[in-house]
Amino acid sequence: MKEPVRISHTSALILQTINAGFIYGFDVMEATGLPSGTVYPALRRLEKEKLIVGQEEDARKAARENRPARRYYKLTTPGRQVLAAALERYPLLSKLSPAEKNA
Amino acid sequence: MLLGAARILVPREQRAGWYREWYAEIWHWAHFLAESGRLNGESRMELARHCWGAFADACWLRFNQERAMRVLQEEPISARFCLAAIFLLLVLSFAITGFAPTIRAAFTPLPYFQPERVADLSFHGEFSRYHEGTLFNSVASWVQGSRTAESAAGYSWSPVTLKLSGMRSTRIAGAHVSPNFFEVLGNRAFAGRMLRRGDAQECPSCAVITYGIWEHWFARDPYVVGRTVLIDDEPHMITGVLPASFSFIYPEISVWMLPSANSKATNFAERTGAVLRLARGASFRAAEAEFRGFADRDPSGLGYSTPALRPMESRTRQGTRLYLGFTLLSLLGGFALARSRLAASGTGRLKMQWRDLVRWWGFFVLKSWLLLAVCFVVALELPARLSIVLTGAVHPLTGPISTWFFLVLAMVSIAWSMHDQSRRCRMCLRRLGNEAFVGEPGYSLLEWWGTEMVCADGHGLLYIPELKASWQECEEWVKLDESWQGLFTRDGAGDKALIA
Repeated sequence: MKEPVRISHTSALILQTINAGFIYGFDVMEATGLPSGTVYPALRRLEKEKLIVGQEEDARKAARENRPARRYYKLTTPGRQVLAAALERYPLLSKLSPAEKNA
Repeated sequence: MLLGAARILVPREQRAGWYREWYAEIWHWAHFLAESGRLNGESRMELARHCWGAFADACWLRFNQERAMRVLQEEPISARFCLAAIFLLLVLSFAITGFAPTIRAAFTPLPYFQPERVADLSFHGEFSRYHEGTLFNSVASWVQGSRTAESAAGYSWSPVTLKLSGMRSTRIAGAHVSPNFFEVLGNRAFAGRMLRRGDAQECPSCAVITYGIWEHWFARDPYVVGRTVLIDDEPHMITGVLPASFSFIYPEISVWMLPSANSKATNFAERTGAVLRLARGASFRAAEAEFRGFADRDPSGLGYSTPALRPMESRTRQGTRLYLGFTLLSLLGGFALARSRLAASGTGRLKMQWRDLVRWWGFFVLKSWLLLAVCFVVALELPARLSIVLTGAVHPLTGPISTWFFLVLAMVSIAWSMHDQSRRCRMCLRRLGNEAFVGEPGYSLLEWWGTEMVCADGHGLLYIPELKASWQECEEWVKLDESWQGLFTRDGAGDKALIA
């Protein structure tokens, strides 16, 4: 049986932040207060673990708006399961996590 | 610019996508700040700080962190890593000490004119003290009638206080020498001139300083010649600077001066002596015999000690050779100790193949030798180097400090080397792992019975008793045969792991 993925407190916080709608790297940084040197490598690792998936937004849409296309992240199904487990493991995490972006 | 530099670190196949993401994020962040009227010096600095994170991100992509962690966990246990780490330590110790000038000097020709003809005359008398004037006069009168010595000059060194105007004073070693001292050696000055015959009358307060003192205390002042310093509160005029390559038996001596005319100073026999230049064709033995005969007849009182004459090359290098001798002795001692200790732990009873035996002891000898080489370099060079950096001179206590430092370092190194060797697999030399306590804690001494460590490749198991209650209780190596191999599997990364 495959061992469940155990993630650090920081990774759990980043997962929770993405789940709350902060889907860009710099958004995550602003919402969590973590430095870029922590957030981006964490995003790479989470993506490698298939807990999040990164996608580039539509380049044509970005070009129409005269801006570069951004890469955004969203949770996968295993990511949501791991986040739920992490919230049980770190009960205070929900208090630290930002409110949903569009709430 | 920061992104451009960090981009180089990213693997080529991920580089374009990585750069697009970072550029877009910064672009949006900067525009958001500008549009919301928050783009000021502080927010620009914050943005620049965020850009530094690109390096961490790029490094993560370049050096797969998990692989790096696995290598870091795995490599230190291998014999090759151990030897490489100690070798790196040796290279570092060479670099820190300025590439070991003392050791290098011991293997390069002496910086004297025809050094093979220069000898040192030393006096061995426990607690004997001489009047400096007596020594210098006796040596001079011996040379006048000598058939074996062409010229000779006395020296007598002791700690002195050096003070420059406007600066703090410091304790250094200073030597009183005969005016022809440097003529006997055949040295030329780096700047100014050396002491010379006639200075006793013309310039009795002249002094010559070493290159280190000129560099540290005078900040390489090109006009140092003619300046006045206070040595033991007496003004002395600097007439010259010795070249950086100059070396003498006592590297502590930093300033050279003439004895005062009315000097009543006495000095220990060990700190006094004479340098002499042999006449052509004369032997050291003949010169020594001649001087001994002279000293026996000398009414001034040199006769109560045993003068010894040795080639200057041998005297100058005896310190380094002594350290080399101690290093070799430590290595042999460590080898003998390790052999007896490992024989007791069952390793001696193992029927090891000739190749494994050579590898096992070869690794121990090489590791210990490298460690002792580090000790040798560090102990011999570091105290002197530190003293020069801090005071510009080799402190008179540097010699004893080096000796004690070396002894302590050598003992610690050999002890560690033996401990490390006993915790390695007798077959593959990897450090044993998977430490497990065996038995249960005792009621009285609150200790486990012992610890077991196992080779990750399944070659064997080492039992280490916590309390050595009798001769039977010693470390025991148990070789695991083929039937145990089922407990060890190879994972995807190629590393074996114990799954029991």
